[in-house]
Amino acid sequence: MKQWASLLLAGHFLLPNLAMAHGPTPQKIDEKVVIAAPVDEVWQQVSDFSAIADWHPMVEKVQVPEAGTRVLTLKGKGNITESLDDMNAEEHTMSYRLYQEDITVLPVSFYSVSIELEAVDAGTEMSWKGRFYRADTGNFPPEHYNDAAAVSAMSEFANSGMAALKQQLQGRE
Amino acid sequence: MKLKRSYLLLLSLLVSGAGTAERAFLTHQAADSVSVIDLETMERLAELEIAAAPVGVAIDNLGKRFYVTHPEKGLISVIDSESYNKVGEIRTGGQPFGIVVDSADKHQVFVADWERNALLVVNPESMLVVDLLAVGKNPAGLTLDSERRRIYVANRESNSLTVLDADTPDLYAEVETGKAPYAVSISADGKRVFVTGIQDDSLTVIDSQDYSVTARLEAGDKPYGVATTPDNRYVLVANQGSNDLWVYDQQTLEKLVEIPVGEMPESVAVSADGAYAYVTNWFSNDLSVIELATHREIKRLPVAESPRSLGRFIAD
Repeated sequence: MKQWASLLLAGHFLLPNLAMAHGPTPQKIDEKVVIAAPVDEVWQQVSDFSAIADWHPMVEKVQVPEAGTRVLTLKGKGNITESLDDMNAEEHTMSYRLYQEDITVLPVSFYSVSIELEAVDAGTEMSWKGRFYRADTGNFPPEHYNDAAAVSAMSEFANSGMAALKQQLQGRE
Repeated sequence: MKLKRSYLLLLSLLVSGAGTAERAFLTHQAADSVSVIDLETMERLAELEIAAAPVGVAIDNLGKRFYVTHPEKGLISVIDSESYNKVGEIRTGGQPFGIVVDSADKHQVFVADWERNALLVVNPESMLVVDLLAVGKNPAGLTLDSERRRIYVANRESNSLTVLDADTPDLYAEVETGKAPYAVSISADGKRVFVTGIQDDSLTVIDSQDYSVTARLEAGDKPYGVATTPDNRYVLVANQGSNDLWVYDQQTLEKLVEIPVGEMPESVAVSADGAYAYVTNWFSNDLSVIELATHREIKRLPVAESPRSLGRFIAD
């Protein structure tokens, strides 16, 4: 190796990249639930971006600093901020992303989520699809900030929300 | 004499076992495996477990191998492209990501190192890193112009494209791209370089003669992979947010059509005859086959979990 290249390498070790961008390997979740309620009814509930605290058991409150942005306070944990990317009432799909992370609240450094509703015989199939990166994107993350921790947290958030929504909407009938 | 030569050619084809059909080499990030698909029969020729979280891929026709990057492990797997047996591992350190093989003048492999903000030069014979050149922050995709001896590296976190010499440690330019550039492709005639910008939904067109920006085109939602066709007619962009492939006229730079593909497509590659494009759909775990003459998806083949294949992932 050329001498200047070695110097470059040494320089790197002296000045680690502290403001680390997300890593190169995203993870995914693809959770589904069937709710015995018409698709319009489910859509009405989930499409109100500022009203997730009305149905999600892990969300204590929501603040809306500006349209399309929501600050979620997760019960007993703290805040994360999400921003809306797309809302399609005709297709019953919406997508949003993590805008301001806090890995102590949710152990992910970035995510994008899309929620899709589809009318099925039994009512509505709701899909919660997420693409995200673990909290510590270095090659040696501690256990609570690794890929498995990120997948588990994202799945838990999706599934507990969908289960509660199912209960709420089916219970009403 | 003539007879003998064709006999030898036939023999080499038989020995290779691959015939002339093109193959797709897929990295399955979540399955820790790679699979090889025969693109004529659409059958899976092999699937093998390798080190964790493979992402980038490059096929080395000279060495009869293919290389797979493992950013999480700081290594590159080297696999025989005929027997599909593992040949070895190249320990690079850092986070090797995009990869491309030079088999023209020199036999060498270029690798973008996401973590160390560098372009690594690997000797495929000794399987050692022989050089390390500084590029921008978090380099992702890269491409090689083997005739003009230039390497183009997309620096995701510095919104730029670094242009380096393929033979000497010379830096020619750092060109401003769209936001979060990811993949790079050069036109077959070598005149234009195309770079996707994930965060501003752009496709930057760069003149390879003077490295000026010719145009910044609108792409779909979160454009990732980009490829050009061998006839210099089309540029193709896989959009991860809008689940489609946009086709542009390479000459007029007009968008011609949006073709729906699977969910969260990542990489796109074109067959050597320019008839088909193949798209890896990371979320829905399939490979879209696009017929370019009709601009239609003609098949969506289920494959193993999380296909990515950053790079030109098809070859004979």
